[in-house]
Amino acid sequence: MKALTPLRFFARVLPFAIFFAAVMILCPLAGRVPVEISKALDLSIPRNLNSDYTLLFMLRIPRILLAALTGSALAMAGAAFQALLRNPLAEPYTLGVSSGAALGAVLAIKLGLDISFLSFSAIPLFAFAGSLGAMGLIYLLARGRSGLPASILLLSGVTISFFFSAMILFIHYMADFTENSQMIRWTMGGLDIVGYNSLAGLLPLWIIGAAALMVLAPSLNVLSFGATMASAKGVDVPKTQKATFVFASMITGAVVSAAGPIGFVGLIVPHALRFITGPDMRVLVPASAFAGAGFLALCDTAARVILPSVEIPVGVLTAMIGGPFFCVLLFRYKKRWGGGD
Amino acid sequence: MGKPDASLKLEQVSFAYRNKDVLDGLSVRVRDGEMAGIVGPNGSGKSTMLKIMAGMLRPRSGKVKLFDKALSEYKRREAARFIAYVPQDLSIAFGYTAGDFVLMGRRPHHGALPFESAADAELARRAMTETDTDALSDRLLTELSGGERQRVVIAAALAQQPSIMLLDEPTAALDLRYQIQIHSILRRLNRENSITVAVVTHDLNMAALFFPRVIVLSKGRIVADGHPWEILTPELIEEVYRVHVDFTKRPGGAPIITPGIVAEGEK
Repeated sequence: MKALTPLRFFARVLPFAIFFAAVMILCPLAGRVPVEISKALDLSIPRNLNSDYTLLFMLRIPRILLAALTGSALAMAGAAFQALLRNPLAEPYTLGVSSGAALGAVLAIKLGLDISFLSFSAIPLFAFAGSLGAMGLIYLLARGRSGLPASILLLSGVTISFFFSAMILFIHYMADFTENSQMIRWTMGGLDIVGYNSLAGLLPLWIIGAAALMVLAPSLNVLSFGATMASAKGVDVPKTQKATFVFASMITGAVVSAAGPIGFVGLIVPHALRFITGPDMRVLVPASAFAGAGFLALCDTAARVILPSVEIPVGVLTAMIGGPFFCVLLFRYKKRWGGGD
Repeated sequence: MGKPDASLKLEQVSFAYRNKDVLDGLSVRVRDGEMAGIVGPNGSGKSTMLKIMAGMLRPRSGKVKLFDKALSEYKRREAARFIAYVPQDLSIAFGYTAGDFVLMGRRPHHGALPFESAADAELARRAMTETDTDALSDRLLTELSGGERQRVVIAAALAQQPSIMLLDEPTAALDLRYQIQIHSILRRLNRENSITVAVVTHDLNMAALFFPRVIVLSKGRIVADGHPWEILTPELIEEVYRVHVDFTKRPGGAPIITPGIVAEGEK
């Protein structure tokens, strides 16, 4: 019997925090063009003439921070959706939040919108609106007197997802070649940003979502044994289900709008961590945040440097790197998993 | 504050699923320290009654009172400090160990922080000792046998430090030995830890052996309520279950109820 005392909690999360810190320190140094740190930090050179400064602080670090926020949000949301839906195959995109975002994005591309709001351009704005729209639709469809029952939530989410996908295909079909390739590139996901504007928009949503999921974590442990058992153990089931759905969807929508639907992270990171730390959501949520952040930042750095001439879309690399790694974990720990039949 | 006159009280409780009436103006009082069995045919409303007692379902009309205060006025978390409800089955989605699960019984007592203390661990350990599940602590729930799993679920309920335990057919899937074991554990918890126990069961013989009080439900009403040796008469059973039974008494007085049919090989 191992009670989760604060000390034990920190001890179990610490390795993932160290992994994250190491990635955050090392990744900005990697790149096809070498950066001289001393020159980047040299204040005597005017900033607009200091190419090392621009490369490090305006390109690489924002990009790595976006990767970290995105990876951690997707991994946390994945862990939460898996517990909420009581299904280890659930992920942040299962319920159509990303389809909503994609619909918004392709719509913005097709309409060629050139508007911006608080320095956000049309595509992320439309994508975020789309994800919120999908979230609202699913919520209204699945809501019942006793909360959001897992099976109905899953069915509503998958239905909405299919519906939005059909509309996306329709827009693809109506779009010309340039628009289409832009749309396809968006769905591959990308973390290349300049400066800190979109990070500043993302961070508050990330903080609210992460804090909410941490608070919900102990209730989600019990909820994975079903609504009745959770209620018997004092969990306010309707409130827990609704809050989990809303906050996990919100952070998913936020990062997908900024980075596109980067796959695999939200499914595999929490899954892999369950093998390592066990299923306790109180550990799994923060561990997913660190590991997801580190994993995506690492993948994106690989995407930047692995080929000498071109960058690979990071969404392609996550599965190419993560897949074999997960196979090793699956092989080693499958006996310990014990997820029923 | 006056001493509460009953642990748990249903007053004129009615309930319906869609348009099908399940409970019909049912009133019952489970007193502090009692150990009661609730029996009745399938569909008689006994599980529904237990769920209403546990606050898992709200009655359509009537009142449910815990210590003379309406159960609906308790927050879920507060209610779970007094009442431990054990549902019929446990569905397991992830690889939690038995020890993890028993510790979840401490959840209603926690504040905003998600951590457990050494005291929580000690209470969970004691609950596992009481139910003879110490050795299962690090095993996965999915690896346990039905009897082991049921004892772990009872341990988790016990870790809630409840005044009242409500169990829905806790021995339905268990063999004879485990049926006796679970009932013996419940009796010990009732006597030594003075926990009020109410159990929904189909086993009339086990009810007659272990429960000083048996409540018989039929079509959403209570048709008999009292000591099983007095109320479990052949007439009542035949009327309620609509089967013929053979009825004998053990030397001590407890009834033995068997189906009144010709057995294989009998003439």
